[in-house]
Amino acid sequence: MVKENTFAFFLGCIMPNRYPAIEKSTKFVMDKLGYKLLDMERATCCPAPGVFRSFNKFDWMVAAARNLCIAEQLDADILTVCNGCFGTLQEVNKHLKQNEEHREMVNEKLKLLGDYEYKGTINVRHIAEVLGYEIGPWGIEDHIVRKVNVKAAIHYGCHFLKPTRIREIESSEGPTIIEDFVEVLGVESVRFKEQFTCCGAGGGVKAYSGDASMTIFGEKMKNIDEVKPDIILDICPFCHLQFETGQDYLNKNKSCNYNYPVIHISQLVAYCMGMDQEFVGLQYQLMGQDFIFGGEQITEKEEAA
Amino acid sequence: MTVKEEKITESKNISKTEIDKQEEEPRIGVFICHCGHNIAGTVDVAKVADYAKDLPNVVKAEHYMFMCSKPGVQMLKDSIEELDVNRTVVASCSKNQHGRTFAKAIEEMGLNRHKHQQVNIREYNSWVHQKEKDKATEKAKKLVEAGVNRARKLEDVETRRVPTTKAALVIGAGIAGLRASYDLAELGIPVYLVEKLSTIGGHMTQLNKTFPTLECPQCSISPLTNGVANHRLIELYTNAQIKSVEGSMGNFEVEVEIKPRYVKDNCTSCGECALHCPVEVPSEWDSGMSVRNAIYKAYPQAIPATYMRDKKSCIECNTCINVCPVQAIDFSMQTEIKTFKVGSIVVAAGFDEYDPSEIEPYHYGQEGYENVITQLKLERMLAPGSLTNSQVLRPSDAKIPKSIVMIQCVGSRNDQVGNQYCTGVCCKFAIKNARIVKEMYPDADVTICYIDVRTPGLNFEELYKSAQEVGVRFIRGRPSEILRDPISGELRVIVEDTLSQTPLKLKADMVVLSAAMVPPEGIGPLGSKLHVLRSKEGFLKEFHIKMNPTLSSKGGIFLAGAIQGPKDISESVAQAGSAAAIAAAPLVKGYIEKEMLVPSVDYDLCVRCGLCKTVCSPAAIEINDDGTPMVNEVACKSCGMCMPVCPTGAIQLLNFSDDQLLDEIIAISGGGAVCENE
Repeated sequence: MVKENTFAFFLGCIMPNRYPAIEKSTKFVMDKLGYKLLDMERATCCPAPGVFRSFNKFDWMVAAARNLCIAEQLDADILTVCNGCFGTLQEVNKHLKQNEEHREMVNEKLKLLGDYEYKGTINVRHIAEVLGYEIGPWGIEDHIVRKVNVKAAIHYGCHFLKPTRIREIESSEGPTIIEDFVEVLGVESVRFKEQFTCCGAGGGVKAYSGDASMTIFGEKMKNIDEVKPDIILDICPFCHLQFETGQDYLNKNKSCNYNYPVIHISQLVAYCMGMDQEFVGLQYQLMGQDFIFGGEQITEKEEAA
Repeated sequence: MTVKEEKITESKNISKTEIDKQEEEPRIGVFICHCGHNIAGTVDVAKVADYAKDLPNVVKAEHYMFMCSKPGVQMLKDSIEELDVNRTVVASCSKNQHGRTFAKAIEEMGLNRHKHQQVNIREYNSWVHQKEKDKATEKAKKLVEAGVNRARKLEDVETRRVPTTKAALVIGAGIAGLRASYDLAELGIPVYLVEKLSTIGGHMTQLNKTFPTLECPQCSISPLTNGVANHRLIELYTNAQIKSVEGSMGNFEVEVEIKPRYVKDNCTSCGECALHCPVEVPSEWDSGMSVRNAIYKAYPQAIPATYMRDKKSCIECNTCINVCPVQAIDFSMQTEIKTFKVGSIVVAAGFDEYDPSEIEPYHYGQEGYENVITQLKLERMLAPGSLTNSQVLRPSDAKIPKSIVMIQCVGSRNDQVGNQYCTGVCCKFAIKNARIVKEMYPDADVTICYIDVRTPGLNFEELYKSAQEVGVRFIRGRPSEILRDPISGELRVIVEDTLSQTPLKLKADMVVLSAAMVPPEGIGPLGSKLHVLRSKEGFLKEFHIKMNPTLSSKGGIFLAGAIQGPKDISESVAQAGSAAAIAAAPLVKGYIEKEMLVPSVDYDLCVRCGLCKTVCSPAAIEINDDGTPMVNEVACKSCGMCMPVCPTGAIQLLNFSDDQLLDEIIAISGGGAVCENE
């Protein structure tokens, strides 16, 4: 049995390097919810599900299994706030639990890297699923001190739900897990055209072909712009990066004039739980630096009642 | 057991005591076939014949160029006449190929045909050992010796005449079931026709036009529905389902459960009851494209014309009872169970349209996607007397669509949903409907997205071309998704035109899914009651896909129409005619001839474990009250599956007993291995 109310916090690459505010927010949220987050020392890149797996599936599994082993040694489920990390770690974990032959092959190779043996004792969790299903809209209400009053275009990204037969969270055709959850935070979610398609960053597309990536993203932004949301809400630092730098790119190169603040679900929840706006870190992001969440305080009302 | 041991130890020199036990001394004739160079090119046939000469009981051993030729067969006959040969062994091709030729020849000479033993030295030997001629010859010797050993103890198999019951049961009153019933009745066979629904005619009555000639299906089928309903030899039971099936080929006893209509036969079909009924539910017959009342007739031409009350949706307000001018409505009617004795059963349970809601990216049946419909719904829309007055109107706002996209292979050729097969009729009906719609609305864009267009057969390529000529657009690509614009509600079909490698987003006011034909609901329990096998796709499996596609896996039960696999109307009608003819044959003749190649049970050895019953696929083994098995000799298919599972060897198939098979094995193994084990 793994430790209760404890997660091994898998940071990944983009969040600690580009968006430390998401890390700060996540720690704030999980602390308030009564979870302990353990640091995963010597953890590496997940490695990214698109690029690494395409080149060498086996080595991809070995590197992922090494990360899983670190959490196994901590005796805790992994928590990630990134779709890519979730995609890799969840899939490899599930596969190695079921496939004895691959498990042995992976363990053979892990020996070369030190004291690692994959046992299959933990699970891999995504923050959106922990918040959406484990805490739930019914559970978060007790923890929030204010509600925001914003209209959000929610971007699910790809690896959180797809492929559905492996993730087994929710259908990827019209999911509602995030919408249901953030409604309690005062967020009005707006559906937009082709909402569940890729942001254009993943699968190595952003690195390999910037033009193709921006074509896909440009389409996405056009569809989002049609519904004029206040914010873009995502659940993945890589999508986050794409929405940030992508808007900037479109503004500079394609005569666009976008300025939608890009908010990760951790940032939003942390703010609603009472974290100061300055720690949400919008001032360090490219878009919507002047955006103020505002919203109504609810603590006084509760206390009065 | 002493006898058995003795026999094993004296493997070569098969014991004299055994032979003495036979009524007559075996006199075996052995014939080795050259099969041109097929066998003789590899096997030294003369050496094999020489070897066979010296085997016990062999009175003649020869080789010849073509044993299956007339002179070859004559050699067998001559040996019987001249040398009193009473068992023959021919070493040539497989038993399936020519075993019957030789068996028939010895039967003509007065021997029982089961006294012939076929040895295969072609497929099993010369064809696979062409480079090892010496070894092949040695192997041929062993195979021939094994055949001789086997022939030595072959017993006569009696052919028995079993009287048949002159009546037939037909399950399902769609086009196939109707055709089979009518054809059977015209051959003088009384028919019980059992239909699950309240009316007969099946899916064909739902259609607007039939391909390729665009005929009116109601006009085509109504002579048959009327003919069946009024035939003096056909008893029709609607709202009825099979409860149990006992017996075997020639003599079945079937229990049928008939649900009440709650309306008596004196109903004049005036419709007053439905007019006053306050309940409205979607009409099943209209594929949900209109509503019916809780008391209803499925459609105006429905047969039987008697109205029916749907107990599930009825609120028992009793209005119908009060308004009926002839007091035909009776809520107290009860379910009836009838037992029929029949000689043959024709299963024509048809198919269901695949439910596309399983394919999530198409969003069929979901809120906001009302304009995604199936071809059957489109047929219902186009049909005369429809709610839309035969016009194509979008379900969302009843406007005429300016762009219609049809998607092929929905539920067919799709590993993700587990259906690999091509339904084979969707291309035809989609092209037909596309052409009809395009001709009705020449300004509308009508597009068919396909993987391959499959229109084989007379008139169908012409139909395909005619659709192209009126301007139906064909795009090769399976759409990945139907997207809905959340603001305008517009649908777009995402597809790659794989011929030009162009990703497309097709605007679609309406999307029509060409859904597959799948096995009908309830086929599982029905199949179990009938004891017939099903294919992995779930349809009922035919006996042989080429040579007997109409017989099921069980004798006396025949298949007609789409229950055996997706079919169009022509094919269903053709198979139904075939089913009627072969189902009628034993009933007209009055008996079936059954070879009693069946197992017998040694009740002293039987431990009453019942394993034999569990493996018997034609369900020919019943368990007696004392736990012992009883073999239904008529139902038995002589497969022998019961023998290896029997822990004590109590059940033994005639001419395939452990004892006989051991003799055969000893010749091949040299007896050594078997003896050591003993």
